[in-house]
Amino acid sequence: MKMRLKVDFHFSSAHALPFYEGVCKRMHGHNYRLQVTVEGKPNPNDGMIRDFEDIKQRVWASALTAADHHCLNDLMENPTAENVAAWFWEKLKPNIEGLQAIALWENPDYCVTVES
Amino acid sequence: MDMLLSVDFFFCAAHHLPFYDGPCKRLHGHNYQLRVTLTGRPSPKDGMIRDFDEIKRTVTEMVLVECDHHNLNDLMENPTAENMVVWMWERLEKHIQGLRELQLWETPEYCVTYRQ
Repeated sequence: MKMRLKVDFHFSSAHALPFYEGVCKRMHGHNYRLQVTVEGKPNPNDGMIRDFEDIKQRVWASALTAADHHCLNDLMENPTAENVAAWFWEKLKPNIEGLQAIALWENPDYCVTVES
Repeated sequence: MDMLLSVDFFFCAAHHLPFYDGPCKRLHGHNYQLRVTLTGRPSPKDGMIRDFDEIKRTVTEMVLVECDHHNLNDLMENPTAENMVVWMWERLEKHIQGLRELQLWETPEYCVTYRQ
């Protein structure tokens, strides 16, 4: 039976949107939430799709270390939630087998999702 | 009977802590929450301590316009949560009668409370 496994992450970053007409053009920041979804079948040996800790380590090593407590404009010119989510997807896809989706929240109300 | 009345505010800002030895030294940001609490007795006429909207306008004009979607290092050299809440207190105490307490969250877990 296929299942989906999700791991949540929280990080704090600054950003400014240079092409936005409004307050987001100024340097400001957020407590972001990232949710990583992996799809697979539980292994009959250990009953797990994947080790949660393994996903945690891979996400930190391949993406979050560069984003957390950084200015996201150092990673790209226009770090909208959409562009940051696409950046996470590109970083995580080669490193996490079965990656099915990532969701990125700028605040508890605003979320962007990328799915395979 | 004296009661406490509180109004919550949310804003997004960038900051860095120049004297911190760790990731907070780098430019990053948060979704801040500010809670303004005052004390008073409900007026026998209208049954209110104060008009919530009046507090909202005062805090927005005196504090939030300078913080929301800004870099807090433009306001002070070392914008820790502690220093920010003192800065806010100094701006609000003359304008909010009965001001009792300010609470400032950098994240849902980290909060500083200032009382007089």
